Amino acid sequence: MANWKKVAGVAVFGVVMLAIGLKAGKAQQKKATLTPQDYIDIQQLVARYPYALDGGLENGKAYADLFTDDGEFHQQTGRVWKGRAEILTIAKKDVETPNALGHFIMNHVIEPTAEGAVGKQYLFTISPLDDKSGRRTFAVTPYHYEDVYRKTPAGWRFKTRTVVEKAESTAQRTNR
Amino acid sequence: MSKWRTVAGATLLSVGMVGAVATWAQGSRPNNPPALSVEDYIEIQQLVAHYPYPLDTNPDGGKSYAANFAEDGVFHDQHDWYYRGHADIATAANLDKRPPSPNNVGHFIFSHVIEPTANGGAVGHQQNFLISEIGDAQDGRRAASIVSYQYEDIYEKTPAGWKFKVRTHPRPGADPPEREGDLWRIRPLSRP
Repeated sequence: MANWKKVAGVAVFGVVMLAIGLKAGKAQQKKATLTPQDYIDIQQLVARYPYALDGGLENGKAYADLFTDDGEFHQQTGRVWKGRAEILTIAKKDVETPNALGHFIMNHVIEPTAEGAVGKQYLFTISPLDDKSGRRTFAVTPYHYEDVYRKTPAGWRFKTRTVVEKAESTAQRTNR
Repeated sequence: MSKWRTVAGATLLSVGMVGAVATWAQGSRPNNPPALSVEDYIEIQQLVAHYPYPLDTNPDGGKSYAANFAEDGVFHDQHDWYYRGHADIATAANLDKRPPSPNNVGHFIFSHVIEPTANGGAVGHQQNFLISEIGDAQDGRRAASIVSYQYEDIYEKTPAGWKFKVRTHPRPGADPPEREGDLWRIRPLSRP
């Protein structure tokens, strides 16, 4: 009788452990998702970016507010602005230029991750070259951004943002 | 007692008539498309946002580009050629057989309008700048050519999510393909 009790005890213990294991496995397999509100908040974060940068709003603070306190901005050259104090210098202007337009951002892809989300966009910049025959010419330079987003108590922010230049040797595709 | 009966009868009659009129008005509205959910709008936005990446970077010979389309999806290009099905559409994306170029960008798509259709699907259109740098760099900067055009789409919800059922890319200034309701008249795949 004591043997039966022992066997039954071990069996019950095994079933309980198996159930716990299956549940834990299922939880691990659960795919990361974002809510519609998350998508909208991240889209709005990226939409605010060029206004803060081109306008130098609030002496660069509006730009720095888009990043987490330990956020990073990377150039493809390897230069990195790390943390709020350094990021505050990127968009710092003596005088705000709220009507300046320079960064045009499109094709915003957002994907959930276990830690938050990642995303990418196309960017082109427009900067004045010179005046010819009374008409101003501009340089148009294409890039793309690669981002890591984090949800903070103040909302979604850039954890890292990297700007990547189009490769010099790249030939243009035909349009499709 | 009979006064109460009259009032009750009149009330019932009024309610019945209001209901009948409301039903008739609802039924007489022409083809009210079912609304798309917020998730539908976001998925369709993301489908269109994904579109240029495999096209411009060519990671796998057109395969991931074609995956944006339904299995029997159609791409209609600006030369009035039609590509139908994944294999054919992959060919369209890889006509020049260019090697993968992960940092290339070219198709800048914006102003994405999405509208539900009566069959539970959706249509949409966008504007696009095709930006190509030309010539040698001067003072570190290169001249760019910008061609603008539009896309017109029919989207379909498949088990794998929203996909392009038809994406057409009318030549600037050309008439778009003829439409019948939510569908374009698709020509055979004969090539010029």
